[in-house]
Amino acid sequence: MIYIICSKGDRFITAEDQTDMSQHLIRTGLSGEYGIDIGNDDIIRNAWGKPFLRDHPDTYFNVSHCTGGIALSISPFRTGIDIEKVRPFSVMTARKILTDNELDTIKNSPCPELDFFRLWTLKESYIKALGTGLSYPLKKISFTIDQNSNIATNLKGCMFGIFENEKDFVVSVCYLNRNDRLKETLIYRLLS
Amino acid sequence: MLNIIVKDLLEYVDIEESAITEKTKPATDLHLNSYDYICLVGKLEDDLGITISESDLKGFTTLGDLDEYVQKKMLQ
Repeated sequence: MIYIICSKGDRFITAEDQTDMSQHLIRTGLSGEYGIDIGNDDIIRNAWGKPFLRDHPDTYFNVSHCTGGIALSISPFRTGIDIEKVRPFSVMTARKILTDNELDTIKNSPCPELDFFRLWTLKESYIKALGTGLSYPLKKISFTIDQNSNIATNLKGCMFGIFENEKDFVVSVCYLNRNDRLKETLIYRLLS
Repeated sequence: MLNIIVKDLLEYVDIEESAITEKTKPATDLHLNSYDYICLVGKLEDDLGITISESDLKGFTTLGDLDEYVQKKMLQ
């Protein structure tokens, strides 16, 4: 299941709001979907800070937030998710994390900001699924996205999905060791 | 060096400068997400003329860790 909460217009979700909402979303999702009720001690972290369920090694979750948005993925597959608000991006950062082909895509795109954050969130969802954090060399991962939002990558044995909210927010999700078609239920809530 | 890191950091977080110390954890205390963090790293590289490798990023928990790393890099 994939849960996405976005703020409407320019409404700002504070850092405290994000933490509270993330925790509420994780508890509600795990309880509703898997019947798992968790306490504060039930979540452990690996060396890079990725959270896992201590007593449920076959149930994975991952949460992401940005200004105004929160996304959560819960799955029997190792999963990573990333949400970003589409906005002007740093060219310096693009050169640091994108392949030459991806940079060309951005350069020739009618919507470079949208395409940049599509690529960023896809890469980030993969390293979040791996649980290695930013120590993974992002330039070694490459993606192309066609006009129908089909995603091609040089990575083997993983599946990606991408969701967009009227081009304000982009959410990418990754599942490791999975090759079937994405058929996750998407629960989306827009805060007024 | 911490003052340069803080100056660059303030472009990405809405917080009083006086509230940031070497013990501040960007991810948990300031809710700095990965994109902002990688932008901060890129800005420090540009401002200070150093290269910060991805494999070194996992060693930074606090701003003090980053400060110590940057100072060592500047001496190389």
